Amino acid sequence: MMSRYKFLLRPLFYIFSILFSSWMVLWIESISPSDFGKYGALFSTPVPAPPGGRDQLKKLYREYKSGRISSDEFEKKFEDLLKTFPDDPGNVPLDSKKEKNEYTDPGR
Amino acid sequence: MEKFYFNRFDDRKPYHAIPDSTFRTYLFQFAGILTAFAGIAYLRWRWQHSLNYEAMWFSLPLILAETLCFIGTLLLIINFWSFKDAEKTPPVHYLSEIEDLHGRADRPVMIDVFIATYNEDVELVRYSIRDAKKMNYPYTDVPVRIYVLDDGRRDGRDPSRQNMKKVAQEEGVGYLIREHNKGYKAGNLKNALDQTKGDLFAILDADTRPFPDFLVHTTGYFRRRKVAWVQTPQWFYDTTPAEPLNEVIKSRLGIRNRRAARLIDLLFGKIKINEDIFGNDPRLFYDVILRKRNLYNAAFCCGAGSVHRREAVMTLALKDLAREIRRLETDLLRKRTYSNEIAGETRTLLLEQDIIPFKFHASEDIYTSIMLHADKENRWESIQHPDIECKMLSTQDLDSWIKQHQRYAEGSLDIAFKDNPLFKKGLTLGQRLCYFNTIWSYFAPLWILVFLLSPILFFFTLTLPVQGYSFDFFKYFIFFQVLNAATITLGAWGICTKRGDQYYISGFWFMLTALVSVARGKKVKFNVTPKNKQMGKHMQHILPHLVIIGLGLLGIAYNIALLATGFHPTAAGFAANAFWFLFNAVNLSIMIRAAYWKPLEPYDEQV
Repeated sequence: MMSRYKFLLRPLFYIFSILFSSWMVLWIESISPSDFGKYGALFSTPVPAPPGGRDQLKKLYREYKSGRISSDEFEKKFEDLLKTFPDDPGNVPLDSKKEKNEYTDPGR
Repeated sequence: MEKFYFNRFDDRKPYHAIPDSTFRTYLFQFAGILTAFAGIAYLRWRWQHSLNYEAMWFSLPLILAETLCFIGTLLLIINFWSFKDAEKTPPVHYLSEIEDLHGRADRPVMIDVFIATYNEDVELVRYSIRDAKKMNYPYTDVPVRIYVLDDGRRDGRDPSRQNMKKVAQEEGVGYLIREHNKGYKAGNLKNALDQTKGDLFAILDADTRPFPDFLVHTTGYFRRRKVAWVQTPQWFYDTTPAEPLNEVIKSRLGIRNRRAARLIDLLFGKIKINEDIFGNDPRLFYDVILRKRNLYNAAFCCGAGSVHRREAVMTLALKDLAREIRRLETDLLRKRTYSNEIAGETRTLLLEQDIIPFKFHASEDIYTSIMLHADKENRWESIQHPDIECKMLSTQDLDSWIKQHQRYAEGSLDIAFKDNPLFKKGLTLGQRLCYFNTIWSYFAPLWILVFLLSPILFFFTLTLPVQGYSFDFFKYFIFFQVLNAATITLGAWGICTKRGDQYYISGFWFMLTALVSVARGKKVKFNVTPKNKQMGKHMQHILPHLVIIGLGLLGIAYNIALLATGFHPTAAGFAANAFWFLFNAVNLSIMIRAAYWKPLEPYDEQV
């Protein structure tokens, strides 16, 4: 009985390999550092910095300047980024700051 | 018989072919698919997130180089996919076993053995002739005729030169020459085919010494009517042996002091170096790369150590002639020539045009293979036989090695530019990819050069080609590299690829020279590989290596100085690039070592 379906083994193996590889790629992408990147550089003085904060901020700015993201997207991403800053006194939702007139938006 | 350097290696036994294993094949395929996915993920991340937009002059070439290199990896995975050895059968006896007779009377099959020579020592050729004479064949009525094809015309007309004809006569084998060297080796073979009648013929080089069962193990494949040729692995039995490091140090430094010698023995006594210093061992190529191409019917002929069906090469030659006639007729018709003129011109062409069985090309073997595989009407098949059936001599110095490999590179690149197999009509997808893999590997200097120069550029510009050596970079890169290494190990199971990897990187300069030469349209020359040691021609080959290593060391010193004074902007960048440079330097150094290598015990026999 089983030998009738033996021909399926090979295609199943390839399908499994492809699915496993896809999962592996997604898993690799999801890996985040524990303390790697906590410091600005590997061998420099350990100045605590938010994980990838400066780089991400730069990237966000570049994307906004080059027009790849709209101002709404920029604002949303910027807010999300701010939330990742631990113990940041500025880590307050933008909206609440607007209400207190702490921010003036030069773009409007 | 005259003694040569290689007599000391006569007792060496050939390796056994890698046994096929279903489990390992599936494991390799699984790893191969993982590598492909990991590589795509890595490159996607590199292209989308890691480019240093402030240094695109540096960032872009590097990422392009990585992408091109990855294409090579994918092609290699496809090539390595699986073994598919042909079934071994007993040697053939009658002609009817290998071809349809179409009403002709049956008879024992006829076999010719061609030993092609040009300028090799006639006493060296004598070894090959004697071994060819010792070849067995189980059927006494099957004629096996041996011919020396001497393109050097050493028939005694020039008393200052050795007499090849005399040696052939002494050994009782045929001697064939021609009055020109048109078509080089392919022309030499054509001349032999014009004068002989064998249904099957074996090609041996001047230094190819067949084992007694060479024909017994190879002719049986021709029962399959579409098998055009069988290639056996070329085994170089004179590769340099491993040398104890302590002896090398003592010999090079001329150490006589007993205490110092004992200390060196203690420290380095167990380390061996310089095994196959010229990277000549072609096992990976024959036992894995070419053998696995049996799966796609894409194993190509490499000349020496192959057996051919005359009908296949002659059919190809006749088809070429027919194509020439058709082209001529079309041209004449376009010019509105009268039919009697067309007939006249065609007759002249028929009389004047040579029938060329092997393509007149510097890489006549691979080119003829492509043409035979692409023959849609006949669908010729090729077989890479797994076991070693003959032994050969390898190049014994760097200059000869480079000349030989440069010819391979130029020949393959010439085919790529003029008749690219990727677009060749008649080839299957698998064949296209396998031939393209061979050709693609000769474009490697384009990316190797970028990999070699990148750390040096960093040392002097302090600019990173990536946004940063971040966690993301390493997580993608390490996964991909580890999987890649595992895949290659599984694919080339049992074979050490270290020397091959080193020569792949350190051979960048001659491959770049070949690429530039072919791209500029320079005619590819057929250089006969010297069978003796060429002295003092090495500096031109290793100068680029020395320059790169020198610049790298200077760069490291400069960066250390900056670090010490606190002016270095990125210590992590320096660490990564220094490691990268050291990896490059170790690989480049193999050619420098090979250039100045001398055996511990000098060969006192003729070399």
